[in-house]
Amino acid sequence: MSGTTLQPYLTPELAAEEQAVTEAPRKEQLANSTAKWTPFQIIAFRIAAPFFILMSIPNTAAWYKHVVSIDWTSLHYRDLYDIARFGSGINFFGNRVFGSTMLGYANWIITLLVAISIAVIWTLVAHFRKTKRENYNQFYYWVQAIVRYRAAIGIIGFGFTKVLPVQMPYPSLGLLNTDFGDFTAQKIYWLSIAIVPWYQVFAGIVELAAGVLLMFRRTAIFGAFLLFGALADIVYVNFAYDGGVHVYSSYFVLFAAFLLVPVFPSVYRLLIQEKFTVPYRFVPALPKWANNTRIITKIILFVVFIGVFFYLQLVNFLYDPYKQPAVSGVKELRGNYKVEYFALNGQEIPASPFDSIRWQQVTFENWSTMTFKVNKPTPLDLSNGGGDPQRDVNRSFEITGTAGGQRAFHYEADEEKRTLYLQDKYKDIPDIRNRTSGGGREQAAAIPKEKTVSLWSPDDWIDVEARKRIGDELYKIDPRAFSTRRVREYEAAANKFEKRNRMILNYTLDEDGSRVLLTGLNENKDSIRVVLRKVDRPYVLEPSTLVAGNY
Amino acid sequence: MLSKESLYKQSNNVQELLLRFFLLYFLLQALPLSVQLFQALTNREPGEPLFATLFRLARIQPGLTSADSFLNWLLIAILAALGAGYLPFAFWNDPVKKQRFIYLVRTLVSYRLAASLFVYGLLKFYPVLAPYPSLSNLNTAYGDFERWKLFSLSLGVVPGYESFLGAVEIAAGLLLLFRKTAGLGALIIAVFLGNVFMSNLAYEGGEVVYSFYLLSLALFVFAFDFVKLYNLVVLQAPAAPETPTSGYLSGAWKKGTWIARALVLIVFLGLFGFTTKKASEKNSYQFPASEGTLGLTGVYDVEFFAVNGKALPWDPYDPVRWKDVVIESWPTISIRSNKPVKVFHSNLEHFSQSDFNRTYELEGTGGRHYYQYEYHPDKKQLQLINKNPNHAGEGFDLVLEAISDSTILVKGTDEQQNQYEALLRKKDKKYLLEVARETGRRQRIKL
Repeated sequence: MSGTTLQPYLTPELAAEEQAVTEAPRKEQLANSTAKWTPFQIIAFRIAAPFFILMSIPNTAAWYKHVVSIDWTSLHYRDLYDIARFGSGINFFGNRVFGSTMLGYANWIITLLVAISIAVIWTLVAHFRKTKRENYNQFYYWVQAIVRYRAAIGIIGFGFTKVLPVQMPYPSLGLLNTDFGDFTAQKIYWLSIAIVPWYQVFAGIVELAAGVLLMFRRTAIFGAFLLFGALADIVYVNFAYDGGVHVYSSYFVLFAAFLLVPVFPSVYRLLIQEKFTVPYRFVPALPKWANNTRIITKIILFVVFIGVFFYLQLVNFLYDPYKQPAVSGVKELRGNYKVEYFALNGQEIPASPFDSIRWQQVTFENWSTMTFKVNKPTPLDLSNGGGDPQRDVNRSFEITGTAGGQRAFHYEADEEKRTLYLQDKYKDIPDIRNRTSGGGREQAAAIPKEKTVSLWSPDDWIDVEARKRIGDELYKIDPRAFSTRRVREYEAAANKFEKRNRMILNYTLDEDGSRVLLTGLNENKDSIRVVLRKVDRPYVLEPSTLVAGNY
Repeated sequence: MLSKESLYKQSNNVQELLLRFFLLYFLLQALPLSVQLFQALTNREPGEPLFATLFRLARIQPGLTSADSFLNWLLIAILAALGAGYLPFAFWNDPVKKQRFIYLVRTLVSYRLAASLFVYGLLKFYPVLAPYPSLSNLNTAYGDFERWKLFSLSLGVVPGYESFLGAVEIAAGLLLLFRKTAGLGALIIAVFLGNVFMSNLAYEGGEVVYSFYLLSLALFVFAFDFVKLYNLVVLQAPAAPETPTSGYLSGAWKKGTWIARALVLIVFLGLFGFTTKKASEKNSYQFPASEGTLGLTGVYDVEFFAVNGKALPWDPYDPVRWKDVVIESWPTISIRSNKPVKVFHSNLEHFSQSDFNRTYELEGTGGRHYYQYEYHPDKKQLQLINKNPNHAGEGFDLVLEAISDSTILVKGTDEQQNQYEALLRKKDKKYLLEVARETGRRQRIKL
């Protein structure tokens, strides 16, 4: 103990005390690991143990279905993410207490009530069978282990989407052109992280570090402290910006707090009461086979949730950033445009700040999206544009939480015939997202009063010949990013004709590519004729130095 | 081969030297021996409110340069190294006096850190540091801001969160003022400041050196408890507590720390808090304090626009034509046009008494030109002066020809005597930011 310069100066009495404690045999140092627990500790544990175990078990059928159906030979990062992110707790009594969702925490309360019931039965059984114990050291150790691993895997799943920054994608041209006041608070927060990808990497590393530290007994307490601090901030952020992930982030705070509980008394004793402190410590002696199993499990978890996960997330970052479309846009079209001429059914609509028909500030993104602005109220998608859609048309980060008349259309390009088949990224009922965690219900439940009336039918759409020329979007991605998950989702949607706004437009470019003529039918099947001129639109915001996707 | 004893002695010598070095280094870092102190006291604007002076006092870092620089750190490190190696302080060899010196340096650094935390914490607690975005800011494209400005605006839309962050800093400051809790306070604020430092790097926030300075102070204070906590938590070995220090501090020393603590509390928490609260009530820190005499606050589309008698059709990419005009509730008018803005890159906290120099609204943003206006109601004259130092001398002399409920017709000249005529029509602009706050994101909104 001597030799460290920061060691406090010891009075003779303290020095004697220190010597007595440090030189005692190791067994006696750990004397309090066999100590009798107080009745309060015993009751608290009988509640906490079932509570935290229930909170660590997935509670949706979708999760189990997902895990069983994973194709381990052709993985997508989201396969692992969905394993890591699940809903838990008791949910077969519904998700309301006295008719209230309690801001989404009702599930916790129900689970707590169930845990208390279990504690009552446990106590009665222990009382009548006279199997009352001195302590639950052994069981407590294993509950802590479950909580550690649940928290570790969950936060690693979250962290990787930041370590390789795809959770908050750098704003597209359409978003850069949107005014600050035309976003929701949630969007503003997401974008504020999106513009600093290196900071996003840092935040991801903090989460990842917390996860890794939690996997080892000795470092778990630092992992718990880091997790508690980082996620408590995220809980507050979610409440402040209406981010919608407050319950799931609170879940980690709760788990971290549970892990911090046992060190609290000794830290308090050492720092505040300034007394000599002997730490609490209990490690079960495992038989050899059990210890081997433990080590092998740990190695497997590491390989899958650190090694494989990192690779899959890297592939996702490079070729298929999950919040922005994966397929390249038409190269010659990309950029910012001003609308020089606009005619509807042969009649010119002059430029005016008050007009509600003419397009303004058109963009073709690097990927398969065209955006424009119309000075007219339009129904909005206020979800956070996340989830797991494989199909580019469903990747809606470009419009979610965004107003100001900003519209975004996904397109498939028949480059031979110079035809764009466009579909509105907005749809009335967004797909349910994060199914395995039981999420997305609230968003799907709110059905708009005013529904999209689509005048387009399958007969008007891409015919067999055109489809041959365009090819299948499913395969228009780097083979390294190809996955069974992608195949399944595309196949499921293959024969559906979703109700969306659609347009078919032919494009013609000037010789120098500075002007584009668009002609064809808009979403109301009115004929439009639009002349676009490419503009140099410098941004004050510096471009990202860490660019996701390959377009 | 070195014997075990001499190795031990050597490593002890190195440790002793390092201890002396760090003690002297942080002693110097905590004292306001600075050109900045001189400036803070002499460069006061007449009538400057107390909190602005206190802010500048708390902001001081020791050194020879008026701007923050890591060079000062190097200088201090050299001085500390020389001191540790060569200065024959008598107390190095007296264990009791040395212990007292360690204790005093640690206390001084804690108090120094606490003063800064109170100041920055209070500026966030009464959310004046990052105010709610101005009308002009709300009507500027996302891509027309610098990163640090977007950080500030994004914090400004959630005053409750900003207050929470401030409260964390204030709480950590309070913990730092007491020996028993100083280590915990330092640990909490080290994690917090680590994030602040990274944010400053990422957003180019301008406080890179200063936030790293505070972080280094926090780590120094925490270092005393780190060894103990490491023993206890990681090695899971028994740990010795801090020894009672009251024995080492004679009455006068003890009184001294009490007075210092009281001073920090009264000046940087009490007085600064009180004056900041006053400023926050008047919204007079980042934005101009006086009320706009023109009234007519709002966003205006430019329906008609002519230069030198030639009407220009509406075109957001026209290099001359105005796109829209914002009249703030304070005497600022901003005009959005495609005329390039030489962005005013000022990302350091500064306070100015004159409204003209309160430039937060235009710092780190392009897209719009910002003018301070002067309005003479009798002649309906409106004088606009560009607030951006990079556009100094630009402006307009306008006359309000006609004002109706929703339109304003202005005519006049710019600084180059070009004739302008514009008809402004008030926009009924609804902001999703505000609409969604009221209805929540679960509702369907058409906007």
